[in-house]
Amino acid sequence: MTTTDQPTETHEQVEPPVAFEADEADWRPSREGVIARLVALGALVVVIVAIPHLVDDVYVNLVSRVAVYGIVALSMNVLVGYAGQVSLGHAAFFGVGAFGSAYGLAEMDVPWPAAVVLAAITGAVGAIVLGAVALRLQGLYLALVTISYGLFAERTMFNIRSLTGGGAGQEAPRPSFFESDVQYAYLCLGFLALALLFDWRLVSSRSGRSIQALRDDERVAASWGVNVTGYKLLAFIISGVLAGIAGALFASINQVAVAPDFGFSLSLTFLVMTVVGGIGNRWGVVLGGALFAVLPTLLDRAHENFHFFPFSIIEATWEPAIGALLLLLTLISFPGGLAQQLGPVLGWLQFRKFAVDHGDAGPATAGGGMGARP
Amino acid sequence: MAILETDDVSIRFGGVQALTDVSFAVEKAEIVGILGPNGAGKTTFFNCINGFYSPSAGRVHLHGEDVTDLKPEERAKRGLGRTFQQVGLVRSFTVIENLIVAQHKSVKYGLVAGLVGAPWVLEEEAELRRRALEVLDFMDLTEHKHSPVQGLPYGVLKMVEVAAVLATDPEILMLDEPLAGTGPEEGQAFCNRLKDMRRELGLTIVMIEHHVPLVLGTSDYVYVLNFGSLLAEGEPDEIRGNADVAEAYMGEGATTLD
Amino acid sequence: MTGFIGGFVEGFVEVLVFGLQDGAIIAFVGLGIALVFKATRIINFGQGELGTVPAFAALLMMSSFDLDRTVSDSTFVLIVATLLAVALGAGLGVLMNVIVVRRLASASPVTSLVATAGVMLLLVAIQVIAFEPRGRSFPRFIDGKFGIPGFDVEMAWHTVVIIAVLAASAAALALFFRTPPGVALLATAQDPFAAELQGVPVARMRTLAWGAAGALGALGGVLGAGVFENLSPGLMTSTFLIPAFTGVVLGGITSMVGAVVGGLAIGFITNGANKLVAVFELDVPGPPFAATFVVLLLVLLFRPRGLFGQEA
Repeated sequence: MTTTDQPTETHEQVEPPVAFEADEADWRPSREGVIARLVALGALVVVIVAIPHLVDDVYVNLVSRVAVYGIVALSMNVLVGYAGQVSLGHAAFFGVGAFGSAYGLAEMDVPWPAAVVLAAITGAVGAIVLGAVALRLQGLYLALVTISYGLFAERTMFNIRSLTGGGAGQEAPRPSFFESDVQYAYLCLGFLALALLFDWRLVSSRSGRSIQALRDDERVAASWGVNVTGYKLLAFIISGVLAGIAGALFASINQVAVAPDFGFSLSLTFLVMTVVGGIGNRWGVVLGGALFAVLPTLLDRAHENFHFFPFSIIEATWEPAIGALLLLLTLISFPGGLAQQLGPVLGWLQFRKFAVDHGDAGPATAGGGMGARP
Repeated sequence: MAILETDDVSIRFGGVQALTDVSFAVEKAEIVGILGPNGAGKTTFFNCINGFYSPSAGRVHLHGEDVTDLKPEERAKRGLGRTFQQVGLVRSFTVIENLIVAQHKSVKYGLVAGLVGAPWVLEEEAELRRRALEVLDFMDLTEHKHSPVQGLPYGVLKMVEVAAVLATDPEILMLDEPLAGTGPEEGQAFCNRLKDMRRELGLTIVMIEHHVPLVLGTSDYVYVLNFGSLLAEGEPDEIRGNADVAEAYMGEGATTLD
Repeated sequence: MTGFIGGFVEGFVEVLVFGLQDGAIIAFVGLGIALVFKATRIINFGQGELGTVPAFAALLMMSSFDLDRTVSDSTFVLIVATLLAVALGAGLGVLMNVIVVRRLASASPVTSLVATAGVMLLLVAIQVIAFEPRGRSFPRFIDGKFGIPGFDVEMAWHTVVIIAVLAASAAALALFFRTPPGVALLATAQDPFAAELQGVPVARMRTLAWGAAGALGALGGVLGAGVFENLSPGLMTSTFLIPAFTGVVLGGITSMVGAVVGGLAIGFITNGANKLVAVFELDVPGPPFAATFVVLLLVLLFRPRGLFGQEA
């Protein structure tokens, strides 16, 4: 309380008009800041687009793998991050898409694009089965069902000879215009870009918002008119479609789909990469997917080239151990995953202030808007 | 014709009869108060009206239509809006994002259009934003528009919740203890605002509250629940002097609520 | 016995015998899961590895720390190694609680599940690195089989051993829960806050539960490896974990009796599924996995609390 002799002000100020248009975040980068960001983004895009040509022939298929894992990560992010569901058997959706595509190509002799559509449909159907169960079960029980479903898919569904070629697997040739490794890598990267675009559209529209609202509080969403059942199933369908398409792309990397490729350990890898990447953040999960796609190769190359500890001991067989350690570290100490650690940079690239996050808030604004843990 | 009414709604949970034959009717643009001690079944009653519980007996009518078998989403689409005892908001979103989600049922573009990003979608999104800001302004919450819901003080959250429900463009506003945690001054301010809403927006308001004097001072009609059944109903003055009601609240021997 | 009925009964007894063998190990793992859940409300996805790791430790002891050497024949050595393995298992369980689970006290149940899954992954990965992804010979307490009178079916003595140890463990647990520390443990699970107010050392109770689960797991691991007479990295998880979970759900996740009965039932069901598919020449690959999935769905959709559980 001031102790001046001046009289208190009279309320004669005019209320400033509320600016409906300029309601974006008040901060704007400086001219230099804009240019710096544009240069950085430009450089990134150039590098990514050039990668298939830059790397050795041996690694080009790895680039395709990175893209595929990225799409799967986005698929998991929709189900686990946006919808708040559990998915410990995601390899089932992935495999269903792979075998769907392979069946179309090998048995029905359809052109490759049609096979991808088939994969999307089978992926969606495979996911709806779980979606229907998820309407009745939550949490732990749902988790068990997803695991059991994954095992059922791996050991039973994917071994039915008439559908999947049994033990020998099914052929999955590449499309005619993208036959070489480099061309195929570009195709996969293109699909990843489309998936990212789709994800952005999802959260910017009513469907994405409704799905996330359900995750936080079903009752409130219902009281606002959100069709709970419909949007829950939609989340599963979208997740299934993305995973199915990823599966089709995956099958055509090595041009064959075999059941053991789509087992429980892959489901766990998918889960780990999504959590480590940062659930809820599209860039984080894609980075997580990329990391785990290259990790075995990375470890092997490091082992060959660096002869000092720890690389002298660590090779590709250490990948599961490192993955598990990263998972535990993320859950216990760094819940936002890579997205949280890289948060300031990711935010800067998206034309926001470069601000270091001081702990509590999860990667809420960087790409999705949600709480951190699974 | 009553805009909202229930006919002998009863509900049982396991061995407990939570509500017995509760009938009430609300006219358009009325403000109705629901009083009763803790555990009387007030929120349970709301849940039955809303659709979160399915009554073991009795019917619920909205605009004369029997909605007893409809899901909560369906009732929301018919103009029913409500707030919750634990603040009912999407916790991981910001205030303005909540108000945009709340406008769910007024969105006209379809699923595919939204996913593809058609131009009319972008126009409609801008309109949703504009409307959200309008409602925030009406509730004096503009300063919080970009604040994440998590971290805002309880009192502000309760107002944000009301703003969100207003954004759903309801005809009937069901408020479950909106004044919890507020002092008498804020409470009175809120009740005045309720009257403004009734006047400016033509809203019908049903309110569960414990601030008895405020409810009696704001409502046109009051119902009192006790142990799951209707103890009394009437205009505020009648309720004020009702000995049974006084006893229910303040124990044996009390004869009025003052 | 001959004829169609005879063949059916014969097959039935066969399923019973093998079902008992598998089911008893599944029940062991399930018992550990139910114990941890009952005491801490956490689903321990690492329960299987709380068995495989001590089993490897036992193997190391029996081969004098050189896994390429042949394993000792002596039952006495096996018993000593098992006791040491049990101690190790208990320690491992406590370690898991301290390092991982406690840190996630405020997280959702699914997060805890994922965290324990992470521990499982880590343990399996370490085993693969340390012991190579192959199997090694593992002894039984009692070798050999005996014929079931009246049928052309044999049961292994090892199965009898497993049943005996299972019964003893279950009885010991049941008794324990009637003692003051046992009651305190149950109180901690029901309402940790209230228990703390009553003076129950909640953290210590949880440690006790995890230690006990680890000890049970170790017993299951040694016996489980004995079933196959072979131990490989991740054995208990890959073979018994999901069936154990299904058994626990079937029996009722809050009931220890349920875990045992459910585990045995799953043993019978999976072996029965195999038999059915073989006998009727059905084109169903992986019958145990199909059967487990169906059972899980049926139970969760129609009687979620299981056979012996209480309403959640």
